[in-house]
Amino acid sequence: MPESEIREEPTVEAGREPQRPRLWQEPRAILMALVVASSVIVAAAWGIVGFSDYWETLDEAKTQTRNIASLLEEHALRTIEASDLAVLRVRDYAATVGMATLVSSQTAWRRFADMAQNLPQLGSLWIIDAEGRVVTSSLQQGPLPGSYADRDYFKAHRGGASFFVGERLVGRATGKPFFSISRPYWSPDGSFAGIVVAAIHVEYFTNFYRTLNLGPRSVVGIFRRDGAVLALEPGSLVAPGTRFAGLSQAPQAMTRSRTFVGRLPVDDVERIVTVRELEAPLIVSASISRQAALDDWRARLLRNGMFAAAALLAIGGLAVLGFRSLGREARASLALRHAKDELAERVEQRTGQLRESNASLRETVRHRDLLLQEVYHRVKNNLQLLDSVLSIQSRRLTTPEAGSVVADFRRRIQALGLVHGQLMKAQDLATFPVSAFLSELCENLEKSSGAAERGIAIESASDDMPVNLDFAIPVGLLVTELVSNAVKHAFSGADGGRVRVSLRHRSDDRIILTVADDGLGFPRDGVDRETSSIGMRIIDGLVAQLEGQMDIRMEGGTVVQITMPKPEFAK
Amino acid sequence: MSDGCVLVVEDDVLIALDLVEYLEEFGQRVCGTAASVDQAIALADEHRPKLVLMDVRLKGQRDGVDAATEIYNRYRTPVIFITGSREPQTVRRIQEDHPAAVLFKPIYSHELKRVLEEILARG
Repeated sequence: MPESEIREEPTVEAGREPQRPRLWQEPRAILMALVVASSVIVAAAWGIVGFSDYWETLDEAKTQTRNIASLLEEHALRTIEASDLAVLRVRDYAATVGMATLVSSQTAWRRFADMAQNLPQLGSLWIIDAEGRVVTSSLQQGPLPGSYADRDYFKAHRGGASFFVGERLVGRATGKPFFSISRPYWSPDGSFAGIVVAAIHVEYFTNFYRTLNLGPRSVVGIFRRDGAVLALEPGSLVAPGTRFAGLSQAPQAMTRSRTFVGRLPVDDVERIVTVRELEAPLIVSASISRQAALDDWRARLLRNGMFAAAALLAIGGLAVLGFRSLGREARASLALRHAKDELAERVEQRTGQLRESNASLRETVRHRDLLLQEVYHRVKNNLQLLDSVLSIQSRRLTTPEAGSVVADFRRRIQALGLVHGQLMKAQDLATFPVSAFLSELCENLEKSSGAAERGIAIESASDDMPVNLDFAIPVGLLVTELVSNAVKHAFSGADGGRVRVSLRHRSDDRIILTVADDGLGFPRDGVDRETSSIGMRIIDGLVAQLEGQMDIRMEGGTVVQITMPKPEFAK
Repeated sequence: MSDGCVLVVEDDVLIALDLVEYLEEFGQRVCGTAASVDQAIALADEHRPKLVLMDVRLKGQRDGVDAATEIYNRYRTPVIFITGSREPQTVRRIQEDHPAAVLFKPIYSHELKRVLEEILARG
């Protein structure tokens, strides 16, 4: 029985916690860091973009007011220059035709009035004499009553000013606001003779300003150097005659443009303002409401904020999915660990059971072996007892024939006992080497057959082949009979002799048992007819049992050869 | 040769009887047969045998080797061991115990007679 060992597998130590991963190896921590980092990045990007966009927007608004102010300057200068040109033409004409003719001649007056019609900004042209009386106007030929001698423009020219911009006024006849520009004219002798005045529509400016479309709460205006408002869009912001003190900061014709964020003296709205001082004694200004300018920025900020919020929501959603998935994974791995632990436990149990059943099997086998050994021993012992009884019995026999019969009988019994003795020693309690068995048998036969006393040697030489009880018993008995026969009949006297026993395993897988003596022959008609005939019958029976064939020949003695098939168990 | 007796130690009655008859056949006086170690020592004390025929396997805890050692130590009596086993282990144990001779079962008349005469001749 080969001992099958259960190999101890290195099993998972039950209850041993797997090493906890470090914080930065923990998937949850990594995911959390990812979420926080991407949220911070999105928020920061939104903030930084919004911040720089804020300043860019303000800069853009400033640039816009600067550009508009340039445009206002261009417009104001052209308008004023064109109007001034008309005034100069009137003056030249008057000098050419003479003031009296211009006033009295219908044709001359018509030409004068036409000069006012050519320019859209021009409402009317007036000629006032040195006393401040209206000589004529483009609206109506002939003088008008009243004196303008106290008007600041008249005073300015009488004081020597060559050009003057008047304040914003409302036309008595038209009801429309206007402001004036004027120049003096002189008598041929060079003395002050009066002034030519052009009334310029404020609407001409405000209409243009309205088309600039600078957005809500923007203010566009043109002023005199002293801050007097000439035209302002929207006009509703100021009452007529308002002055914006401190508007002019530069000395004459110096740094002409400045841009700032502040309040205009019209309301509380904070504006981005460009003030541009012209070479003409005028100032233009464009301003945009800071709030309005930032509206776009605010819209962009909101839009970007919405994108950022959407991104954060997406990150959050993905994070939730990720955390859930991690949770599932953690649960699954926990379940897996439990399953592994359980499996390990079961393997442990099963291994234990197998070990136990193996041990019990080994114990059973050991018991069986002991029992078998005991049985062989008892059989051998009983055969010895039987042998002793026969020995005792034989002493009381009176005839040599009877003694011979008992002796034959004892030899057979001893052969059987020897088989059981071999079995007792056998490692597997079933097979033993045939050579050792035959050698011991021959040794015994030498003594029991009386060969030793007569100087007959019984020799054994066999192949080392394992045999079992079923083969050894018939072979043992056969050898016993053949050797006994040889010792009894082949030799005469006490000359000695030799009997050779051999068992060979032939290459054709047949077994050859040979018992050969160097005696005188096999006397078939011997004295011991009765016993030898029993012996022969036993021999024939055993040969048949072994499925063998017996061949007897004379060859320097008698050679008995039995050829038989190899027993099946033999290795 | 006729002085003293031979002690037979053999727990199997029939085998013992056979041995006794052999000995008587050879002209020996048998002091008695013992089936156990204690019995063997007691009989040896009583009869002071000149020779002991000792079976190795005996009834009880101790075996023939133990009995032989005891008797040899007391009286230096020669012991012929009789054993049914040719196991090297048993044979070695016997050899350590000053055996006068070792016979393997079955015992043959001529063999026993020859050994007996040899030992008794040694004195």
